[in-house]
Amino acid sequence: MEKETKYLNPYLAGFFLGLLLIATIFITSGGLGASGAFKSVVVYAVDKVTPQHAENTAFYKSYNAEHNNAPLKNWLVFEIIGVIIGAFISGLISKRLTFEVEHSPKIKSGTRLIFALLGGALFGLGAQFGRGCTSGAALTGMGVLSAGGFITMFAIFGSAYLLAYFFRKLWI
Amino acid sequence: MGPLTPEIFNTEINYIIAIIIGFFFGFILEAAGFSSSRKLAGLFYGYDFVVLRVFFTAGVTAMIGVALLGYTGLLDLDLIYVNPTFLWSAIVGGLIMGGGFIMGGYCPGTAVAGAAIGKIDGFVFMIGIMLGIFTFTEGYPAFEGLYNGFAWGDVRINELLHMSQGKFIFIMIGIAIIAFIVTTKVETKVVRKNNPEFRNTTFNKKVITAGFVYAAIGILMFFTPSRKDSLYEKINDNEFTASLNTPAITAEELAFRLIDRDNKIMVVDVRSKDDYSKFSLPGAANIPFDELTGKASNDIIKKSYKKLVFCDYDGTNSIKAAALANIMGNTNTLVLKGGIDEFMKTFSNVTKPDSAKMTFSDRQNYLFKTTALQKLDELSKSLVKVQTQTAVKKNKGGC
Repeated sequence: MEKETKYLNPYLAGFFLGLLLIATIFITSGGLGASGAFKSVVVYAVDKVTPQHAENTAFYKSYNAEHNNAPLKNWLVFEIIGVIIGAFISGLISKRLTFEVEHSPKIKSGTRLIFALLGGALFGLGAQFGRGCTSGAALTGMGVLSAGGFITMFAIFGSAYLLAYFFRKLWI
Repeated sequence: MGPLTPEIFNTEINYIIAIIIGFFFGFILEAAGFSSSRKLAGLFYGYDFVVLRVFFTAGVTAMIGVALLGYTGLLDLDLIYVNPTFLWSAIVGGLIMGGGFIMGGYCPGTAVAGAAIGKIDGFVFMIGIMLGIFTFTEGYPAFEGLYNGFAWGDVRINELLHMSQGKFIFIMIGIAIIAFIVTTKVETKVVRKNNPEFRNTTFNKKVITAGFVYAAIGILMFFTPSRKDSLYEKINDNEFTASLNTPAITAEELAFRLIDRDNKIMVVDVRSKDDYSKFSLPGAANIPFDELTGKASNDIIKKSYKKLVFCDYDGTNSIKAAALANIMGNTNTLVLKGGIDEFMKTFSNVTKPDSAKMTFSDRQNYLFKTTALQKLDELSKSLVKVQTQTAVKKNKGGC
């Protein structure tokens, strides 16, 4: 039995999110994002753990060059720090803080975690090609009317719908 | 006028702004229920359309807001980051992400929100993201072709569909409203299979009212031309521009004043960047004709205390440019009669007057004309060229 919890009216939430996106674009000229922050962390990790490899591989080299050899000093990294705090506070207020593996009662939590890892990996990989994820490419793309953003958005949701039947056991 | 960075804020404040924006982002995501993978997945099985409602509303709201800010001149749409389109990379990326979504039940932003409230699966998803990225960075040489191919630049979706911004937004609002109504019905049906007592409460009075407001805005947008279009339409109206009677200056007088280092005038060259770099007058700023409504142009036209002398190829566009300046509130302008074409003709191949009939002023005139171009060239080299395009930093952004 799931405990009752109150969520914000989705249309209102969407409205606020839209306003936030407008403000972000107005203030910074860029939109919201998420996957980019993860990319920064990956590059940073590679720099620290295998610096020679980073030096010798074109991708890390050019990334570091573009970011003044400080991959973590990135607007998105700071934004994500804010996301963590904001989400935590919201969870705190709504009493939704809990350590758990959320999963359908029809599968084991271990199964859920395996697919979470796989799903994350696919998302991370896909976000590189898409030059952003649902926040950066799809949502922000919609706001600025980017063709690429819309195309990626349709591909994300289209592909998920097509695959939904095959993974239904995970959810329903 | 927006966008505000990088001009107004230095980097450190930028990062603080990032945290604040992120805070609200995370708060809204969690408050809407996006911290729960089961709620997110509901979109694909019909039992919870929260993703559609939040996402579509946010997207449409932002679209309207950005367009309105652009139309009123409060935001320079040429300077904001528009995700560039790399066709197949965008498609393939989206297809892969879709797979990630249905398997993992999260996306990067929501996974962070989930992890922040304790969802271990959210945290594991985040680890997964990094592994996925690592696969990409390590395998980059193999992916590069697809990644950089079919580069269409920062095309806008309405341009791709050959329709105006306003019309596209109108259609989007329409689709959104229909989608919300249909999916609410579907959701109610699906949930009632297991829970016959379920009542869908998302459509309250305020939401329905808001729906009508958006519909009205949509209709308005349909009939609104972009600010840029309406301005250019006005200055292309020859009757209007002629009625302004912008005074003209001849090539000789301009050359004389420039050589004389008259610092009360500034030339604004509205020819293309290429032609400007091949030849330009000393101290001239270059604002290509199509960019006259941009930020750099705004700065010059609205803030310059000098008399602006517009010049173009043959004089027609400079009159229009002066008209635009007039609309913006600056009437301290001149246009170069005959443009650069006439200017070059005046100072090249100067016919030497007949020495028998030559008067003193004829000779002075001749000497002036034959040496003008050279003197102007020397002056040009010694002055800093004001290239407006490089002076304004454009956001390179992106994820």
